[in-house]
Amino acid sequence: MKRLTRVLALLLTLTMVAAACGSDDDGGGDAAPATTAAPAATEAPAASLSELNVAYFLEWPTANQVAQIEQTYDAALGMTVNWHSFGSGGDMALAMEAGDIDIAYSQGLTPFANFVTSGSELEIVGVAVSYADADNCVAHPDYGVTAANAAETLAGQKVYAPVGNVTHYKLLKMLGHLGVPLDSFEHVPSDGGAAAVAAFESGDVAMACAFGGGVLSMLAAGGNLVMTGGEQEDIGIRVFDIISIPTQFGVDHPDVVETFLQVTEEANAAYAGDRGSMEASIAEAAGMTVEGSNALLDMFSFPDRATQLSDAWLGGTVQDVMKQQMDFFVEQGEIPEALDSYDAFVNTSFLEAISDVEVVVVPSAYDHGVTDTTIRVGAIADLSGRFASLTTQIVDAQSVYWDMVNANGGIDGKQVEFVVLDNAYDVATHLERYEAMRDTGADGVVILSNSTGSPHTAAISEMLVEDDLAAVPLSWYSGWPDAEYGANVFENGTNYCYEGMNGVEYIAANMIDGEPKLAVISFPGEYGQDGAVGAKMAAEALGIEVVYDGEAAIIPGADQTPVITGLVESGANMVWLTSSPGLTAEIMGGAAAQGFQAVWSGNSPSYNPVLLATPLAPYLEANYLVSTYNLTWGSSASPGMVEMEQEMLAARPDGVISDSYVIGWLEAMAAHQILEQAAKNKDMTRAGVVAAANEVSIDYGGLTPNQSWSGTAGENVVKSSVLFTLDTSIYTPEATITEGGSLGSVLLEESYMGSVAAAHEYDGACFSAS
Amino acid sequence: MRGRPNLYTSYEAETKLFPTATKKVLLGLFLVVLVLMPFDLWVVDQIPVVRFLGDSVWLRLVNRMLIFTIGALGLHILSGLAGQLSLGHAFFGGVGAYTAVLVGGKSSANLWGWGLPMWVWLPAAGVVAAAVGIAVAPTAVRVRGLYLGIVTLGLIFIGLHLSRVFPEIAGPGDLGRKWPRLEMRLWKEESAFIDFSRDGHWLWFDVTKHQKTYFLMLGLVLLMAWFAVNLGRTRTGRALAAIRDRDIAAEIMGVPEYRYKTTAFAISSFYAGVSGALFASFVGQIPPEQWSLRASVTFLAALLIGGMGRISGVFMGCFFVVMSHRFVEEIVDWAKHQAEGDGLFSPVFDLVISRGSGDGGLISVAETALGYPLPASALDEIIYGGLIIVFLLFEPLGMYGIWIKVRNYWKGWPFSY
Repeated sequence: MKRLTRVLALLLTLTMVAAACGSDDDGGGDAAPATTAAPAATEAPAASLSELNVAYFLEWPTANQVAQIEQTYDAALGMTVNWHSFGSGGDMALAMEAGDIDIAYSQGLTPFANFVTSGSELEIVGVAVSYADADNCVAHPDYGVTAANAAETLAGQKVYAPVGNVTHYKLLKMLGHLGVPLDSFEHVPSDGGAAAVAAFESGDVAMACAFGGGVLSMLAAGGNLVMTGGEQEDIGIRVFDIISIPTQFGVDHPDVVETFLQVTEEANAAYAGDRGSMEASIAEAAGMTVEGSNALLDMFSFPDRATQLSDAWLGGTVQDVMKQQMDFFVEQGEIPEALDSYDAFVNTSFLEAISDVEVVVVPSAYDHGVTDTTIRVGAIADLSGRFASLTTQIVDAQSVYWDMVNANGGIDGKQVEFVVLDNAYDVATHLERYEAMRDTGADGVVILSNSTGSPHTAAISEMLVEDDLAAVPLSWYSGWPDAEYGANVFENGTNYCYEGMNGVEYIAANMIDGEPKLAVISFPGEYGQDGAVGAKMAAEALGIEVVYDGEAAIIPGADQTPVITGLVESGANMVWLTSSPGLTAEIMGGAAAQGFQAVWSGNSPSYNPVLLATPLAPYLEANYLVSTYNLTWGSSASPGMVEMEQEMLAARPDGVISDSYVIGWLEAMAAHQILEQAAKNKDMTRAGVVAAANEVSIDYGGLTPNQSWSGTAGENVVKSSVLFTLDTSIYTPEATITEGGSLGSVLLEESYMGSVAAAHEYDGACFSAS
Repeated sequence: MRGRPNLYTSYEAETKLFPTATKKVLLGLFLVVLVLMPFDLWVVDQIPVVRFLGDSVWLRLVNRMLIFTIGALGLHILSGLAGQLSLGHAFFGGVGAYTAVLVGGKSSANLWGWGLPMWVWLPAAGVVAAAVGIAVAPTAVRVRGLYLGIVTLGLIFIGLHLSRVFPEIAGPGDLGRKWPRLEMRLWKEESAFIDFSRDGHWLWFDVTKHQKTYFLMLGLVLLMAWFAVNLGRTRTGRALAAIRDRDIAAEIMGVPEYRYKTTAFAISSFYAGVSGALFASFVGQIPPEQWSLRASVTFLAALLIGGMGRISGVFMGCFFVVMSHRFVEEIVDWAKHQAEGDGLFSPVFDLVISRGSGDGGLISVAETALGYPLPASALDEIIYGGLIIVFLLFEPLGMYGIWIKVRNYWKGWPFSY
């Protein structure tokens, strides 16, 4: 009875502290459900410890959980270790005071400091996990807040953040560093992570601060970090969890604490060496899915013994951080007073007694195209053929991308060597270049980040499978997702067929008054007819009358008069084209000259911004809907676009702004993330890269819908396209990246998937040759 | 009298294939080297150029050159031997290729194909192309010179149009379709008894698909070159030469112009058809644009650069035309390494090579260069075009002519007359 009263009293205290500190401050508080399991009291005498009670958080993955689940602690200590999950750091402190818990792993620093300030006899024996990235402020893209301009852009705006906890503390320290006056913006108090995401998505706030999953959601929604976790650590802002014990336990059982820390140190070192093999065990122990666990692990770091003992951590900084936080809470009026010094609550003697563990990085396996120091990535591109002017820019953007990757440390500690060979848009040459790419050992490549052309890629598709090579095609044919056709061809974005469906549906629903009457005009072949078939499928599903069917009617080099006449006489009020910019101009010009009026659109690249420099510009502006597979240059402020523009500006200041750069960037992004996945799997063989491509989910930073190639083609095929209107007044032909400017397209729909595309079940190419 | 060069005592002796023993021995040695080339042997590694041509990365290009040579031998018969200009040679290649895919390709809902084996489709490709050649020949009797060139140029565009009208044969649009593989079957049975398009095992050796293809192509080239050489030594060959030198005079002398021009077109087209079928099958899947004016001009360029009217010139020309761009690339790459290194001549190379913006030089090593400084691909085109002009102006006999001059110089050395 007496015990229950004591627990109740402490719980009351806790409630007050928790209310004061919010719920974001104690690490797992937000992520973990409140599953406080008051452990059974262990009344064993101090001298003969028979079992060890350790506190931890569920849904808070840490490196040492492999040792937890494999009972390495039990074996090393020679006793049973009971792991008790807690809902908050405050609960952990209470349980330690009650003698129910001997060691708390990953307790939040703020609740620890709160408890010792009010007299609890606890001490810090180690740093468990640092996660500056997981607790951060995300700026809304519409406001354009960056570290450089924070003072101007935040003035008078709303900032959504919790009050009186470490997130608040971090925000104020960061803004102080950036020189933002604390009274220049409006602080909206937060109601937690989900509320922060909602506030962010409403667009009312310039910046929102949260913890864990909330940060990821806001970043995924197009937000950007004002300062990264690394940058914040550099200016002394730290967010971390500690390993703490009741002071008396350390006096009674120093060997137990040391052994515990030693096992933890070994687990951390093993994790640093080979994380991939441990992810499943960690996720299991944390009670999470592997994806969820990995998303958090990506933001965590587990400092080794030497780092923990350095001045940056237990050598002084941790004590200072506690003092600053408590002083801060005193200022806020949350607690009456802080202690003069927190040095007494850090005991490094246990950590000093254990030994360093060398991290043995398990090297990735590799066979061809990879060495100990380099990764060779290939591109067979058209550098001197029909599409050279576009493809050279595409390849150029890729070079810039790989230079950026190398400057950031490469992949798996290896530098990327980008090998470009010219196919001159000739199939036979493509095959000869492929011979060089498929070469074995260090002479070959491990992935093709560009294979230019549909027929060319089709010609190597069987060999790609034989050689276990993955390739990213420069082609949007609807046959590639079909495993029988392009098993190792990993297409970016949607395809000609869905683009046709979406375009027709959008125009009919939004741009036509009265009865829609469709004309379809296309090249013959896998580009033209794929798009035309898609357009007609949409027309059939939506009951739109096709008044002129010109599928395969455009013969390049022939007289287009019959097509123009047929179109004009059909009385169509909407046209779907699958053509080239030159022929688009010829047909549109011919029709316009006869007074033909309709809403036009077509598969990319039926349209090219250079058409805005022709006399057709006014007609295009009035009547043309631009459809593409990805965002065009400068058409949004998504993180992928911002990164690309910055990198291109730095590397190619004199380059002429071009949508081709975006396409090359996307290809390289896909290849890069596939390779990163292979590195994580510790298998950088060609077969390993293909396997990685089939499991990875590519994040294009908002440039095009994210994509994966796992599972069936029907599940993965991207069905949404990007739509733009044209504005000739903002078009700046031949503007360089430094000068800046626009290609005249204005974003209308970032990711449009019509009902027809959504309902369509992919089962191979829309237009198939065989 | 034996062994004296340039002394012939009979017409038979003058037209002998190998007038001297030296020629026989040298040619025999050359053949041995060609046969051994794809293997990793010590002897082969001692011979410059040949030592790397056998690598799989280069061998595919060598194979393409051999296939190209068959087509060029055909044009040699028409243009070199009979003096008829043709810009439509690629068209006959296309006729052969589409015959091959119709006879040997697999059929499906939208594609026609009878799936017959290679020993049917390869000769069929030649025969059908020859038949089309015979049909075209009458125009060659009516017009000559540049006008014939224009007429044959028209064939290219007729061919492109037909390929679009019959997607059942040519495959849809730019995608083309799958050609029958290079493999020997008796009839339509499942497994081939010789498969040239897969790695395998012959006797005691492991052979790659490229090595297998190489031997097939080498055999075919030797066979067809032997036929082409001998054609020049026959009554037909002499008639063709007479027509080439002056067709009216030939007719007055009793050479039936119509018949021989038709014969020349038929044989030439047969070669082109076989070459086209082999090429398409070798590549596996090609778009109709392959049979373009550019391909025709490349055949002519091979003849011009090698030397019009000589079989050895055809070989030299084909080697140059097909391989030159890769050699130019290799040389530029080598020069780049020289410029980057600190060798004796590195400043010289640095002057020529541009390694990025700001670094002066004629040739750019950046893959994505366009315009000036020149990327390797543009440099190659310039060399190629320049050589055609140089040869036309200064050395009409082409590389063969240079070879003759060098040979004659050393024959008379040290006496320069």
